[in-house]
Amino acid sequence: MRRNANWIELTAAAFCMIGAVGCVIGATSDSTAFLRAWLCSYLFWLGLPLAGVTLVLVHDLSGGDWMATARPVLDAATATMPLASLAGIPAFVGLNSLYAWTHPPPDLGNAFYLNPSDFFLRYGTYVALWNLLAAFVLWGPRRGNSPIRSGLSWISGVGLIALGFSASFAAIDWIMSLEPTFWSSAFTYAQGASWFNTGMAAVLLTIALFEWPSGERRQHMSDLSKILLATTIFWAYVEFIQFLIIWEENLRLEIPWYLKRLHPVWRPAIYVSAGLGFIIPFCVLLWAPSKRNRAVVGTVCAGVLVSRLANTWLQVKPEFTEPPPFWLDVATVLALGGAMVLLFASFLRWAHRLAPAEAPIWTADHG
Amino acid sequence: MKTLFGIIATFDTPDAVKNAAAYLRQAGFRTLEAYAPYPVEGLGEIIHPGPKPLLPLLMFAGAVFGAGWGYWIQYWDEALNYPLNVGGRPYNSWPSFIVSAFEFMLLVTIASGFFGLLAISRLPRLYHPIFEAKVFERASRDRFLICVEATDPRFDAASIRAAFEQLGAERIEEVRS
Repeated sequence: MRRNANWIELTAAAFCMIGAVGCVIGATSDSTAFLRAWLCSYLFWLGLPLAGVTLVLVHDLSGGDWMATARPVLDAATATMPLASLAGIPAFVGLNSLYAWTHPPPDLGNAFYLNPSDFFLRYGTYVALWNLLAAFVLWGPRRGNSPIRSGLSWISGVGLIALGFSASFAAIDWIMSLEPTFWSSAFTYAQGASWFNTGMAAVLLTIALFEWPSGERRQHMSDLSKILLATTIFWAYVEFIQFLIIWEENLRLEIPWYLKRLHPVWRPAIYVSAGLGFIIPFCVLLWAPSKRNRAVVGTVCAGVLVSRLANTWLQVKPEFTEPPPFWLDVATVLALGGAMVLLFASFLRWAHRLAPAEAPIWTADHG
Repeated sequence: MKTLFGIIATFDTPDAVKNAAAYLRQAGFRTLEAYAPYPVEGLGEIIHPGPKPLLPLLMFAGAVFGAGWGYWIQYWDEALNYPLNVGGRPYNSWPSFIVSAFEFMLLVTIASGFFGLLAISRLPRLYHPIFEAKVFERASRDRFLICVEATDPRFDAASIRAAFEQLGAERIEEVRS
């Protein structure tokens, strides 16, 4: 991020304001619609810090030169964790408008899990755990492309396992429980991959826009693009296999999930989610030279981001008989997104000031 | 009289053979090959620079063909040849067909990569003139060899020998077969 340009923060603040005005109008006219739209926005933006934490923890265990290029941006993504995790509160205050299990039929067998008090207890646990891990990522003793000291790497390992489980339960609590009788064991993997792809695409887009490395470090972009390629393939695989199994079984408890989503209204969301989230990244990034091309990586990542937003809408909105209007969806995404980008960009600029002058990543030379 | 196949030289370090290869390329030689006991990073790129799209293209063609063929045999069987109502699903049940089409794509892609690599490397081949060189067995033990072949348009035994000497070759030998 260039030292003398803060138009990004200004634009983000402006979008945040516009979105906030939309949110206020939406919330006062129809609070239920606002809560539903805000839930989507919350679920979408949460991917940014979750991916930052995940990739840094993975790197603690695996190592890799690419971290030299990715570290500042991943740190900035992680720094949005407090905002992103607490942004669920506005949605969850109106739990009754979101989830049918808050007033369950007497024969709902999983009410021991799906009840408001346990839901809030789990939400608090996720927030605490994720912010602790974010603090560990930001302040742990690591630098540049070197992983954490080997004496502390066990925390990264345990943290990754805890992160995997907590994100899975969060996906069950927040999305899958929209249909309280639906169950799919692949669901949490798909949502986890979707969150990771959101954050990874945002990080790579940031690097492509502002920090594209030159010289030897170009190889880092190839490595980072490969990670995104692998996780988009993983997402598509899990998402498809879940669909295939449920479609073939055609069971009364499972198939309604897809029948709602296959309604013609949601077709565009399916095409955007699968097309920009898998088919285009797969076909483009498979080819080695495109992984080193700034414009190509940036465009593909912007597409992946759009696809993740469409995917979030596709997961959540068909569950409501009266989905929120599109303008309200956009307003909530802008309101929270403006604040997220503002925080993200400010942190990146602050880290930029702290970075030693000889670190080549911060030079203005983009080759 | 046996015909001259080329001139071979041995070097005792990977850096020396890379240096020699770079020098010979620079001098305009094109028909040369190196032999080493283990893969020397960068050596292949020095001797055969530039993109090598043949095998990737062959494998990509194999992938497209395999996916198409894999899908087609299912479509032909389930929708055209012997249509059978399975649980009310459409005859052309693409979600189910994708799995086998994907597996078939892998099979054809890997097979075309495997056999394509053999064909491009002209394998299996039981005899090669380079086996006539006395020093050649060292290539599988502890020496790095480089051979300029006589078919090279700039081939000139005396000047190549001089170049090898200048580059610090341990032994220089004419290969005849």
